[in-house]
Amino acid sequence: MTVEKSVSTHWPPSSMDTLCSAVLNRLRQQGDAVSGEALSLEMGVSRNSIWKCIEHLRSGGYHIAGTRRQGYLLLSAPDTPYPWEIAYNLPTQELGRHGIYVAETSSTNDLVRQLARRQAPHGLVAVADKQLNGRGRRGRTWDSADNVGLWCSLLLRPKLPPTQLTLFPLLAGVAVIAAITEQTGLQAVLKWPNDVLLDMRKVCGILLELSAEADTVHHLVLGIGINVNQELRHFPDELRSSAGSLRLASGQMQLRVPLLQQVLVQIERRYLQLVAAGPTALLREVREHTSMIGKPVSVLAAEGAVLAGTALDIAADGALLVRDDNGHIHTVYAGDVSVRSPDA
Amino acid sequence: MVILNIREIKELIKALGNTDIAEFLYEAEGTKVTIRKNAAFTANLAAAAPVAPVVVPSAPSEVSTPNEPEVEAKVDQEDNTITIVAPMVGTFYRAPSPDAAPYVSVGDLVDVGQPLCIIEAMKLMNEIECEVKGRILRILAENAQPVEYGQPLFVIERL
Repeated sequence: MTVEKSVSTHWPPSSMDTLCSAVLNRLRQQGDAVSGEALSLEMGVSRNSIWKCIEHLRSGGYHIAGTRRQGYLLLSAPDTPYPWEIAYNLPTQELGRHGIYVAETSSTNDLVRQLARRQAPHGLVAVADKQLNGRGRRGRTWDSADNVGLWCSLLLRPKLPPTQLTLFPLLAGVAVIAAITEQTGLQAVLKWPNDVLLDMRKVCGILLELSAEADTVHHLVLGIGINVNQELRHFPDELRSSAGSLRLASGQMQLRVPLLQQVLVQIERRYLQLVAAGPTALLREVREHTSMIGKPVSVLAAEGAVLAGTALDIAADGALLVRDDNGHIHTVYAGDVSVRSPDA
Repeated sequence: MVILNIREIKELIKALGNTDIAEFLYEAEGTKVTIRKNAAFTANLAAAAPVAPVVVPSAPSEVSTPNEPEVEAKVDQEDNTITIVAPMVGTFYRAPSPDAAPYVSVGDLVDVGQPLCIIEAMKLMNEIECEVKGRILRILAENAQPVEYGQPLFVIERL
């Protein structure tokens, strides 16, 4: 795989980000060469600024032909999740309309938390080609290698009380499953609460961080990591039997930008439905995709306590209901759940 | 407004004993009644609870959306303390990861916006921030144990 060149963008967008976005839209709209002079007039900037912008885009992986007589012609765009690529032809109302892209960062969740404090808007998405310190739950790391995955975080400012947000992790899980199906035709399954598995291998992890008081939600950061184009050699030894990717499952390279667009579309659709009509449809979908219901499971809770029983159902708040061997029903809110063989 | 008589107050105390409500304040026509559970007693109860972290045994009725009890931090004018309660059900963690030091300990000075703990439900990590400048008087929940909606977590003395 050729490593694409990339340039970082900013929040709020720099004047160069804004100009790049406008110039690209213009080149795409025309579908034909546009002269530097015409671009300069339309954008209200100097010819020199247009030239700098074109060079900036080229260094970011865009192939733009330029001739003195005809002007600039867009030949190809990279599959790099620049905010203007994500927003281009994106059929959402709010999610992904604003964004930031960085080649590498410690963790996109940390990045979005910082931006949230600087009044970044609902729906902003941050994407990195590489996370140096990608996080899982309880201090675990998430392996996020260069360029082969989709590492992103979404800033949400939901107008819901904190008690209703426990459905968001499951919402994100089924949205990713739907996006994968749209994009690849593959049917993934949900491992409660929100791991996404293809051929029994984990291809997506989701971690949400909430900032809220008793009855007010300040913001919710929804972090999603999807293994897109990894081959087995990309995974560290200890993950080689349990990690998968869309490429491994589908047998072909997958594009990241259209996948992210699908993820945004599917999340927004379910979010708007949850706000407007309540959780019934979402819960039905979660139950349909949760493979462990009806099966014997063991729940590894914090501090090593283990609960063995049968997974019964998903509760109205998203919790997993487990019946233990004495017939007691437990409401599980956190922990590692695995399906066990009946004799284990 | 009705002024409570002694019998009614006794009944109230009895009724509150069976709930997670840590403190009850009633005010009418210049009369003020405050019923507060002994925090040390509450903490001992939590410590003595059976070891089943993050797994809340419950009757099916508890699965439905809870009623909307008062969950705002309660301020007692007399002793100038504030009680931070859980804004949602989940697992209470005193540190960001198992190997990390706790966010706060008893006696620590804390400031507005400082993280006190995390409550996790379904990989939703809720970092609870301090609402006042003060000192941690009591920590009422055990690390890695389930907490209920509205359950008192910290008592903080305002400074």
